[in-house]
Amino acid sequence: MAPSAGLLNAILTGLVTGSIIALGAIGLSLVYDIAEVPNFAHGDLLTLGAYAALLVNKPQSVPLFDLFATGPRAVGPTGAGLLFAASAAGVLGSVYHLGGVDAIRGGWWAVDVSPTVGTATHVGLAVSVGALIVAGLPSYPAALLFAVVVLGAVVPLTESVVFRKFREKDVELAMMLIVSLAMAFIIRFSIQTVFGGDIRFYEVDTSIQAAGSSVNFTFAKLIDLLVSSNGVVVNVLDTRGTENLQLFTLGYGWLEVVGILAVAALVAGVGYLRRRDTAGVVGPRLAAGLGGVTVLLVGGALFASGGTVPSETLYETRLRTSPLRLGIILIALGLMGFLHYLLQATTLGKAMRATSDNRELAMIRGINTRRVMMVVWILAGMFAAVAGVLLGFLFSNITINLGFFLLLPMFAGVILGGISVYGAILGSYVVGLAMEVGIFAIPGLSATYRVPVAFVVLLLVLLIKPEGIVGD
Amino acid sequence: MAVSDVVISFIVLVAIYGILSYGLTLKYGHTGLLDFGHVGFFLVGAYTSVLFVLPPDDPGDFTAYVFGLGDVPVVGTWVVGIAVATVLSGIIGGLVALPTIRLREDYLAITVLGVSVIFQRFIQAESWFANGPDALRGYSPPLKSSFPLLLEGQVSVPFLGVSLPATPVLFGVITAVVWGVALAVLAGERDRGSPLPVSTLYLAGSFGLSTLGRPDGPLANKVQIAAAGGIVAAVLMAVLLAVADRILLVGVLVSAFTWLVLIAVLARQFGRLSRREWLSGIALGTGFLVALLPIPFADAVAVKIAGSLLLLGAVVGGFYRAVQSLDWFAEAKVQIVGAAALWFVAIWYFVIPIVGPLGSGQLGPALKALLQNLVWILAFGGDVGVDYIAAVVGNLTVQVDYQRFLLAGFVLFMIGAYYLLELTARSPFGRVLRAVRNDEDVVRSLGKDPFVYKIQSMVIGSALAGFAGALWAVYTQGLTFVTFAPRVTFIALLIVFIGGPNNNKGTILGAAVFWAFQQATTQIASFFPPALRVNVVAFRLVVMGILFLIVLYYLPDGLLGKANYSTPREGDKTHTPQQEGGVAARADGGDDE
Repeated sequence: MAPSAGLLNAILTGLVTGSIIALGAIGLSLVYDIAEVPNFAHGDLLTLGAYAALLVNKPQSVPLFDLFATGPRAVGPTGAGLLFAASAAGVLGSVYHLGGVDAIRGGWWAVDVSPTVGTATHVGLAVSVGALIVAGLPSYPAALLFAVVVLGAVVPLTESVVFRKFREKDVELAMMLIVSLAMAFIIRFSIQTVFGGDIRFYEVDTSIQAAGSSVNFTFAKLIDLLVSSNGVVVNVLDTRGTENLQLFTLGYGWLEVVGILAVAALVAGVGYLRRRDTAGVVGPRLAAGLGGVTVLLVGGALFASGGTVPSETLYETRLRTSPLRLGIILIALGLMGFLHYLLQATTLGKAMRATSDNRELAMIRGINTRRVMMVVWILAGMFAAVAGVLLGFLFSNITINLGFFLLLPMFAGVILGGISVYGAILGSYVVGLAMEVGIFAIPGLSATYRVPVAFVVLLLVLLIKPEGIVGD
Repeated sequence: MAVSDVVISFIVLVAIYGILSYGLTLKYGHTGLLDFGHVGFFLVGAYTSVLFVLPPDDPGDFTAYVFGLGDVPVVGTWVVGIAVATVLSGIIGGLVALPTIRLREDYLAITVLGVSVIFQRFIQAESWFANGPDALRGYSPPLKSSFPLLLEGQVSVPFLGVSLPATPVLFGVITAVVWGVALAVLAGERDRGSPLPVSTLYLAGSFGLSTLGRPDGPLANKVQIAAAGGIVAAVLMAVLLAVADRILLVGVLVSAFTWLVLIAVLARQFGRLSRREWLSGIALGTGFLVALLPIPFADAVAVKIAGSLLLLGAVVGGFYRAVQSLDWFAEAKVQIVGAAALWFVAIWYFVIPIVGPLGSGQLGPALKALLQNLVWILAFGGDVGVDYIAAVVGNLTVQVDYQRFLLAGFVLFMIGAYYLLELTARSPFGRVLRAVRNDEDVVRSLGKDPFVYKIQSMVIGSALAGFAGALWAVYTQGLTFVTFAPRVTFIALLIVFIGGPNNNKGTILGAAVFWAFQQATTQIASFFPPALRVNVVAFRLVVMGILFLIVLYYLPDGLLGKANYSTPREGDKTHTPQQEGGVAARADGGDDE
């Protein structure tokens, strides 16, 4: 008898949801923490990213731009030129926000370079990004890249045009919240003014060539975990219509399982102890986590032997996932890793951390806090773009409320974790897990309650610890 | 639909949203609590009142709701339903506030937003509670069956079981409210001096009661005189209707009085303008009208949009140039814009409806349209009603429809809410609320617990929102969960900020500005092809958002500025020695504290 999806499946789904929320919450918490703007418009930035990607992915479906489209997914030379110009402008615009024309000449680099070298590098970067996008048109990765560069240039505009003016008037936090609410409405309904109210979706080539055969990465795979008296068996099935095709089976005896777990724990412990007093990029907890996971994966691969599905099991559960969802978790982790490296290992990251702790002190120490703030907005925009485009693909429908639905879980994650980047990541995963596990665990609760469940969790945490789990 | 009907529904919506925004004025303006979940209490009020008047759920039909008390004798009436809705919203507001009010202001805002989303999702998901995602209909608003008012027809008084002739009583109620409000406004005008014979009009309008006013008697201030005058007028009209069936005459009398009062108000406002300011206002208004001409008359959408935007740009550019280069223009620019708006509204109300019939040479229909708009208290047209044949104009079918009754009722409630808020603001309770808004530590040092006061403020504010929700249910006759989205809180917030966050009069002004904008853009949107309606509607929200930002930045205290509630009213007779010296205190508007 086939095992049924249980708690472990809900946890996995929660991790996927949490990853997307985390991508949004990172931007939100960066802005909340360093720019001190509780940005209610952040959800609509996700929507903006999702819609911007449509310009590359399905040019003909975009009103006004469809004049330049020669087919549902192709553009003529003018259209291509426009997209190229927009991408290049996006890259250069992001750099411009960092300090004006001087920044384009290389003024924001940590090393001193001559203006020619600086300008040449930036222009070269802009040109290559533009060329990549136009060449990759209309594929999904090109659309993603386009959304990232466009938002990287447009989102800081909200800061320089709107929020900075209010900050200079020294308004209170509640007023900034109201201002961001107004911005949210402006952004969301500007998108609707142009695109109208239809539901859109991306056209993505979902088969990739892997190991000689084409794999469709959106099809769900079923992973059965069967624990029997002999050991653990992992049975991977492919869903094909009504019947499931067995792909491969891995069996582990009890000795192997215990051995792998013991070595993983040992490596994690050693990694933690060795890195405990250092302040490098790989801190103690990261070292322990990475070490443990690596040992698990390596051990799992080494000791994998063909297994048979046991007839009697002590415990069995089924996971239903797809390479897409696992890919989302990996992309999110990768981007978080990049951000972590940026924050810990670069001077810019140190400046960001300093500004977040105490802006006046950072200014006294000579840190250009205005540039730091612009970097924060650019990063927020880029992360929001990635989150929006991934979300649009995951749920395969793009409406103007796409981002707003995720806004409340994002805020919940940020507040729950305390308003810092790491807290936001932790909080987002907690919220994602709460949403999925809550719906699973409470019988009779329909799926429309996902956001309310996140809120109840937030409320409970705030009642106990009003500063959030990690907060100060 | 005649233009007067548009204006009536405009006033009704202003009243509903005014009461809703009053809840936010109390919570945010007076106490400093930012409540992004205000719409949640609006929802509670609406659904509670409806569940009280619906007949019990029939399992066989397609709607499902948890209970319907419509058949229960005393409880299942609108009066009880609205009362319970208000109280329940207040209680739920307090319950929501209890755990959350200690949070920081932005956390509080987001948490209460989450609560309102939970309410909305609950209605959407639980089909057994209030018909789930489908609309909850099937109830009839109060006294609707008596409308449109015919010459026969009875209405039964609740709780007393007495039947009275419908038309005189109900029209008397409408007259009482309309006449009373007009009289109060006229009294205000008389106090401020006016070039027109306002005193005579006031004397006539109050049926001589104004001469009976004594400081200690029942007719001490203008409000009571207004109320008394309204009641006398109501009785008079009711008698005319009951005895002589003269609907048209009665309608003309009441409408004429209101027009006279309006003229008196405008004469004073614009008597202050010089001729050139008047003329610039007229020019600006006409320019604006011309700028909007491409929209109904051009065929291609691109021409409509481009033409209108260009002309609008020209008008705004001209205004800006004038402000820069002419001193007298810059000084009077607010009055000039006011004059332009007045001119625009006058043309829209009087001229445009008759342009069509006049253009095709039909004098009769043109006069009919004019008459419809002048005698606004009666609805014209339709199958049911009293028929008249007037010279030149032709056939008229006259009736008093349900909208007028709603207008009277809702305006009365809005005035009631305004007085409630004024009383609260001027009371010691209001003083503590303002102190809590400014600095909680000071309040604590004086021995008062800010927590308790914040909870009370939340309760009253949410109760007001619940009351507005019940009124909304009466107005729309069908509830869906989509209406109660966070967008409504945003609109209420916008309304509060336009007039001034802690200014009670300002909230009404904000609601009027907002709904005028909505109605105007709805009319404009109707000229675009249906496929583009969504886009045009979205654009109007963009414009609203931008205007909101402009108001927040340039006018953080709103159009009417900060209101000063700490000084005694003009009518207070407490003569303490300290007050006799110093600057005279002004009861409304005025300087910062």
